[in-house]
Amino acid sequence: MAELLNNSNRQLIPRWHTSRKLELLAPKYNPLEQLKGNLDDYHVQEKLNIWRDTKSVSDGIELFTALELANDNSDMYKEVKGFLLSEKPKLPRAVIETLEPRLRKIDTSETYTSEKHRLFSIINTLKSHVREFPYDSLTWCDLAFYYSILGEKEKASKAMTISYHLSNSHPTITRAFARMLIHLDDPEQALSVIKQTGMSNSNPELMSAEVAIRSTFDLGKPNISQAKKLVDRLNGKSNFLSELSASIGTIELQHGSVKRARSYLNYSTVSPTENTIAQLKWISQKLDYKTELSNGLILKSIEAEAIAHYQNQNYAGCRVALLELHDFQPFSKMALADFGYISLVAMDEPGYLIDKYNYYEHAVRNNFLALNNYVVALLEEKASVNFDDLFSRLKYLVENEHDQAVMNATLGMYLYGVDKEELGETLYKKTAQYFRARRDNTSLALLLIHHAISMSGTDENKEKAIELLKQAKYFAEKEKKSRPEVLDKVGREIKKLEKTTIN
Amino acid sequence: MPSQALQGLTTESGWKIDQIITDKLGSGGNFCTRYLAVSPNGEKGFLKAMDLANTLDDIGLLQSTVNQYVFEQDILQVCKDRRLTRVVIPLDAGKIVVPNFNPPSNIVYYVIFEKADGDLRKNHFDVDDKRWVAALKALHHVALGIEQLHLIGIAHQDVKPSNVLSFKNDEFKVSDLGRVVDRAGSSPFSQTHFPGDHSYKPIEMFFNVTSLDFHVRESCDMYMVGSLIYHMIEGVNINSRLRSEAFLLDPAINQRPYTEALPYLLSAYRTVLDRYKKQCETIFGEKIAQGLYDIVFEMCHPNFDRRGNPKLGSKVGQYSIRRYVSKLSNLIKVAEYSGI
Repeated sequence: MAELLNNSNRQLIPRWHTSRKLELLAPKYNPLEQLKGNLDDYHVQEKLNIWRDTKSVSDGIELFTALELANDNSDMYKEVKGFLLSEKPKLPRAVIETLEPRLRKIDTSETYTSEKHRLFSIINTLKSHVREFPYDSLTWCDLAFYYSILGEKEKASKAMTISYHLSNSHPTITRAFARMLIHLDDPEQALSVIKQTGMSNSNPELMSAEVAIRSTFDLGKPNISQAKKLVDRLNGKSNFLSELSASIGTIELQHGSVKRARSYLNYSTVSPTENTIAQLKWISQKLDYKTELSNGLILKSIEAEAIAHYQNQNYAGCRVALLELHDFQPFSKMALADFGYISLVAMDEPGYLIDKYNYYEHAVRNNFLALNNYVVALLEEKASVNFDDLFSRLKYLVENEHDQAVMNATLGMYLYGVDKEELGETLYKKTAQYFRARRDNTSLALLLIHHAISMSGTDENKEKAIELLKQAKYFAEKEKKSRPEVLDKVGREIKKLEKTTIN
Repeated sequence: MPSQALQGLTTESGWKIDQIITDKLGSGGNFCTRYLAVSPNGEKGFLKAMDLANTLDDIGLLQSTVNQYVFEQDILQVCKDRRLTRVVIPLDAGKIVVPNFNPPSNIVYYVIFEKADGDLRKNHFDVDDKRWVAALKALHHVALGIEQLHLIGIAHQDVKPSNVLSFKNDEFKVSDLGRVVDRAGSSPFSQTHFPGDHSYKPIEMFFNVTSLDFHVRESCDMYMVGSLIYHMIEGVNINSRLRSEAFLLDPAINQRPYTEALPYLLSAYRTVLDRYKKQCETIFGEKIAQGLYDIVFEMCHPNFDRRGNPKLGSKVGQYSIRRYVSKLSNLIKVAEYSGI
């Protein structure tokens, strides 16, 4: 519940985007400096003389391509490009595509589509691509991405494994593989694929992933001194070093070394990725350390926005940002689960949740917390649906004791609704014991709130319900700093109940 | 300059040097001026005159220029002796003394080639109504010319549209052996990783993957012939398309080593070839399109380990152009039969 919004140890776990959406990894800023080739090698002078002489389209193309390949951006380049664009109707399609490059995307949505029929259509197209061109490791990786959105774990793993082996341990694909494995609850394996490349000590993108995974999942101490050496050695390739620098800075800050953190955090802003920006915002919120960002950057991180809205108790804004974040990393479960939590706990809007979750049906069906939120919302709305199916799906998604406890509480709520109060109460109490034993105050408070709501349907239970809410308040108060919305929710429910009692 | 004062002179072998050529046909080569020339029996030729005047102040440059000239003459003579039918071979060569200039700059070395009607730029790219069967023939003849060179241990290293000359009856030949490298290693460019026009070099060379191995030279020629096929159909060289498409995937691709850039190049390659195939289908229909797709796919594969026919297991077989000479020949027959 609100794990993403309340993350107490954010690290730079690699983002995963498809090969046609890699622009989402980094904000738009000044184009990278390219090394200019030796124009003599490209016979530029000779081609220029010929083009100046003939002014023909074919000679213009010859000169333009030579300059383009030599990374020349001089006035001559602009002149010949302008000339060719003025002759556009005469140009072959491939020349226009070179003059005005535009990435064609199968997924035309701004981030990623969530429409089921579109997802199937995209998967079919990607499958036809890999059938025709089986060595295209990026497309295999994209296929894994879309299978992950649909929750097709085995197919996703198979496609990703092919991609990984084809790409010869490519950093981008290895990072994507690691990210996927984390979502399959296998961080050890995620670390293993990074180590298997044999390049994690020499490649900053891989080292950054290793540091983040080790730090997040407590898988051994990250080798920070090696990471620092790598940053020093590759100084100048700032666009590859941003996340590693931010990782080092985060860990130094967490160890209280503000002075040592400063230079790494500053360096991470030279060519920051979106993940770095999210990290810097998280650092400013959670570790109370602000890093100045370079001018000219479009500083957008949806995750950072969602967290900021949550911190400012702007729950409506937070909810919008969470859905955007889900579209941004649709294989991830946390944003959608947190969206449900905010809708139910902070905003008392089960109807809105049901509406949105219906749109993200395939994702909700594969996400335990989201599906549980959905069932709770349906119960709150007293919807006439087949709860048997929903509970059997929930049961299928249960992965650990905590999930089981959450499901039991929801089942308790359901049983109250079908006049099996005794059974419901037993489940609520049993679950309460579980949360109490683990000192999970937030879950306990929420359970008590829902128990109170469930039993408040009859007059004789109202006093008992108020008593439960008072208990809930007690536990919510303990967490009011990090979870103010739970205490607010208790307050609202007490008021509601008191109001109906007076009436 | 002496090389520009040859008009009206006659060589010792009797060739009369006529007007200077200013058009772009057969352009290329360092320190060269071009003329039309006529033999004693009326045959027209194209004279390439090499000027040493600009190199006299730099003994190193003079020496390397002369070395290049001498080597080119030797190679041309070998081509002539071996009767390479798809390579432009010299009709005559030698030196001529130019009046009104002082020695040693009054000596101009020349080579006379058979006179071409045009090159691929003039015959194909500048023409609106393209003759596609002739284009396929040109490609077949180029592949054959490169194969003939490879068979005598020479890698051309500068295959591009301006170096493909056209003659009567849709006959085409590979020209400009000024940048070739021989297997024996006597070429002045033997230690140069890529002596040709860098716009056409294999894509891995943009990532500093180079080798002086002769098989790699052959692989370069293969890439450039494949690129020429793509260029004829799409109107732009394949490197340019690959680069712009790969840049869309990863703007930092130029800063990556080749192994890291390769997945982006391969994905871009798929896109580029997919569109190329569609263009081929529009021009030739499905069957020939598939053939042209397969040829370019193999010849220009961004992963040089997979270029050509790696299934053969040896580099000799992998980079053999023969396979593509045959394939192109078959495609021409299909095209003619289909009435394209």
